[in-house]
Amino acid sequence: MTESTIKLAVTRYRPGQDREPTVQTYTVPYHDDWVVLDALQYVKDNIDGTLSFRWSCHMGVCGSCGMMVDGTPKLTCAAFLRESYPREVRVEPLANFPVVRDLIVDIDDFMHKLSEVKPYIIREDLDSLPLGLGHELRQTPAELEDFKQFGMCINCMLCYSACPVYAMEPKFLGPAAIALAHRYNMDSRDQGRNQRMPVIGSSEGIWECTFVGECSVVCPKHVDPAAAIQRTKLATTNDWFKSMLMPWGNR
Amino acid sequence: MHAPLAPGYRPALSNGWWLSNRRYFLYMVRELTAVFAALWAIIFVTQLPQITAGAYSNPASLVSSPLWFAFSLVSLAFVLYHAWTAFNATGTLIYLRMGPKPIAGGSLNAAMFIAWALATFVIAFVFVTPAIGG
Amino acid sequence: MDVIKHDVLIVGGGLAGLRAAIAAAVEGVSVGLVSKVYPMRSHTVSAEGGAAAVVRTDTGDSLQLHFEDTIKGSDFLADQNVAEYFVQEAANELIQMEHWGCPWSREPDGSVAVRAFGGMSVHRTMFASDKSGFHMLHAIFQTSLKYDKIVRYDENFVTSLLVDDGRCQGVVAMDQRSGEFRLFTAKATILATGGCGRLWAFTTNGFINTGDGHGLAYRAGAPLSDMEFPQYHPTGLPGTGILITEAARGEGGYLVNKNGDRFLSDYIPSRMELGPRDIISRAEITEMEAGRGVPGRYGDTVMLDLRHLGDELINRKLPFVRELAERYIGIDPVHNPIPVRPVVHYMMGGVRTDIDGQSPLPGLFACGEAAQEGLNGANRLGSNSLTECLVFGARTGRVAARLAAQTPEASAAAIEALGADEEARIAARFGEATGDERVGQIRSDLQLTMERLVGVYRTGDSLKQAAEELRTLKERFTRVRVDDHTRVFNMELQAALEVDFMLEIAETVVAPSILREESRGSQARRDFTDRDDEKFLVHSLAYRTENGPQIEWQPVILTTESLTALPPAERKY
Ligand SMILES: Cc1cc2nc3c(=O)[nH]c(=O)nc-3n(C[C@H](O)[C@H](O)[C@H](O)COP(=O)(O)OP(=O)(O)OC[C@H]3O[C@@H](n4cnc5c(N)ncnc54)[C@H](O)[C@@H]3O)c2cc1C
Ligand code: SF4
Ligand code: FES
Repeated sequence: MTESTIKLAVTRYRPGQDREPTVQTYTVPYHDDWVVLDALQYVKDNIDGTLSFRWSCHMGVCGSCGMMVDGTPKLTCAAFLRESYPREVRVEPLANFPVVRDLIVDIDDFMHKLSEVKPYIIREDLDSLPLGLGHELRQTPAELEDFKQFGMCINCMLCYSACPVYAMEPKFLGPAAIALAHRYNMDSRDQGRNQRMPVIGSSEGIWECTFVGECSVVCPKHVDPAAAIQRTKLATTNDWFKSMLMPWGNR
Repeated sequence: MHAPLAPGYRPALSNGWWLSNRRYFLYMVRELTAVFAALWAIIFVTQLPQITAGAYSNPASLVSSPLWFAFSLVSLAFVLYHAWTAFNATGTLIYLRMGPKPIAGGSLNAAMFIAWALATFVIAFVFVTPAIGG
Repeated sequence: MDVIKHDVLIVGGGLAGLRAAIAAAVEGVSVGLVSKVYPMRSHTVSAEGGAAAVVRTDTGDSLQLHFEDTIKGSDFLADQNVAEYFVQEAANELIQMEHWGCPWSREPDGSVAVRAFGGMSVHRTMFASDKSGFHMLHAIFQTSLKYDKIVRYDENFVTSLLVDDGRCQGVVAMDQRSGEFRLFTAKATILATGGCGRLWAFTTNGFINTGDGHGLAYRAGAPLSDMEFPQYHPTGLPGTGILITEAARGEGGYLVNKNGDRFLSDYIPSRMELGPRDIISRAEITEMEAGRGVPGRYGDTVMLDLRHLGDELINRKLPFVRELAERYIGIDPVHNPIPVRPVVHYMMGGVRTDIDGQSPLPGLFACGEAAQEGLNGANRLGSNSLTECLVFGARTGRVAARLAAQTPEASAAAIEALGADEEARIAARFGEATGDERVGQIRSDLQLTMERLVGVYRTGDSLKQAAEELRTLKERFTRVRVDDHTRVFNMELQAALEVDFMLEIAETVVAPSILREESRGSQARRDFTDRDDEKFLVHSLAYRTENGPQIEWQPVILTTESLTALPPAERKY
């Protein structure tokens, strides 16, 4: 019995060797329970050791393995070959990011933006709270639900890759960073909203977003960053009206 | 922190990006419908003085031309589409929790459509109909 | 070559490394954090079930009880003073994580919730639904961003430790982005490099869990300890090895064989599905060998049945289990049982350290899964290890910072020479390597050898056979070829360096397994089925020599300060 096979068309680019990106096609065994990542690792181990890409967990939680699969940003450890078979699978680096090599993109821009939005609990007494048995800050299951979804982000960058606004204006804070800011703003334990607002509410923050909504469609963890952005817009507008109507209020 | 970066490349967004999937296309349509809505409103406002002066019964006026009628129809369709997309986003925009469970987005959307229907009814039968003496 | 100086240098951005980094930063010293992946990609991210500590007492819990469960779970090979400190600090650390934003699951009154876990006699495992590690890692990583004292070097692969004058003075690392080698010098270096599950073919561990830290320490002359104890988790998905968390059983799931019987009643009736992992994994293998396994595409399995839990509970407490089973094997646990089998999950052994994380090599510390500080003995209890990363990460970070504050700078010239040597070594070894063996092929053969011969059940013969095959693999590896000669993200070179470490660490697993002629915890010898406290109530220490590991033994610490010590006795549940 001959094994069935499938073709992978992979974008290659090796700085110092290639002048510009090229497409290389590999033929690999086809298994209906293989994901695209399995096929790439098969290539690396058996056909061409020079192909570079990132991965680790193979269970959709570390966020390393995002690539364009047939033109759509996906986690390659969760995208099955059977979704393309018998057609060939086109694998490209995530769109909208600088490509460093082959399927590896530069995400330093996001790492920087992430720290800009202060993604941690801010409260004055944080370092003086007692620790140990019985000293947790109380938070009801309902209060947890208020932000939980926005904390499910694995930083996989699929949303940035799907966002035309980010493509045209790389200064845009972008879906995941804003979703994470919103996650902390909505956390009943946090008091740092006013410190985050200058960055989120700036012209490169929420107001860049024209609500294309594709970020939420491609997000593998159902974070719904588009909702986080629109809600922050609404909250900011509310704040503004309040400050106009009640300038004496202690905002 | 990294040692200096070796050169890479950044692929540009293609001009036809919005044709690459259906949702991008619908987004563009949504944006475009807003242009029609705005255009219609601007023209309508500039025509208001003539309308109050009885332009509808003047066959030579802009507002009674078939062109304006056609443009208004198209605009109406677009405005309806735009309103549909906007109201369907209500649940995304508003997060309301009373007690342990947040209100489902679908219910919020539905509430908007109901409010819309009510508003239309009020405008049509309470204000407009008496005004034109129907 | 660039030289970068810090007081404390941490290798590893997982839970242990980040906790150590924050602790050291709080002490006011400068901290460098080097990691081969962005910290939030570290394998801590995949931990599902939760973290144990005495955070409630309405369950009847106490420090003494957590302590006794841990010692008994370890089959009495844990150092009791270490376990004592661990249970005392555990709640502080988990509540600290709470203050840092970890979204722990809650009771209706807003207090933190706990669930049942294997080998724990009461509910004591705090959890963030079934993505505990993910939430802990992201919370601590994001919190670390506010400390200016911590400077990160992401995607830098450490290739060796700098040892000069009998001290560890830092590391040499390859910046994957540029391919350049850099020297990181430090007064204290902490290895927090995680586990080495990738030595085996069937594992829950990520692709990056190649045990580099074990290899780095071993080559620098520090001993690896208790490496004969890898933990098999009873519920891995066939094919991929993806973990189905023990919390699935903690929440009430059943393990059944081909006949639909809850077979654990024959092995551990008092605890059933909530027994310790070593015992349940052996029970599964025994069932399969007796022909009561369920045949499948990837060999025999047993079944994990969650159907009676109902879809509301599964969605609320085990949503990730449902997602993983549906996606990777097409089974919805609400309607069908999940096929599972024992899978390599965790390494009890590691770089030998004392309770401060200090290894015998001055200036070198270790914490987290990479360390063997004495907590886990021959079998770790599920949910103790995330807490372990925090408790000993924090302590190690503090101690290292204080040590650094008192240590003078090392001689720069000597260290730079060491760095140049390391770069030259790698260039000579792999730069022109044009043999006939592929890195990936050797890695996969190594993994199959370990899988076949160093499994749940072992014999002296299977282990000797493994030692023999490892020698052959090492010989083949001298003929490995590296096709990639570029610098930027040369992942083939990195893979070669990892496999080079793996081949050596595998020997430190096999050698003490041969010599430990007893069955204890996760080491089950068919030729020596009993535990032998007379001879083997000792930790193994593997030292590197030219002819492979040399094994020494070190007594277990059986004393405590305030809790009541638990003298070794038959391990009965
Ligand atoms: C699927 C799964 C589920 C688990 N569930 C639980 C659970 O529910 N409860 C529990 O208590 N425990 C659980 N564990 C165990 C626990 O998650 C791990 O023991 C723990 O997270 C290890 O953390 P760490 O910080 O030591 O290492 P890791 O998180 O693995 O981090 C290692 C770090 O070292 C870096 N590194 C490694 N080598 C190098 C190098 N050469 N150069 C530079 N950097 C390097 C890596 O980049 C990474 O940042 C689970 C484990 C797995 C695999
Ligand atoms: S919001 Fe979703 S798509 Fe964007 S980075 Fe986070 S998990 Fe990925
Ligand atoms: S490999 Fe971790 S998300 Fe795909």
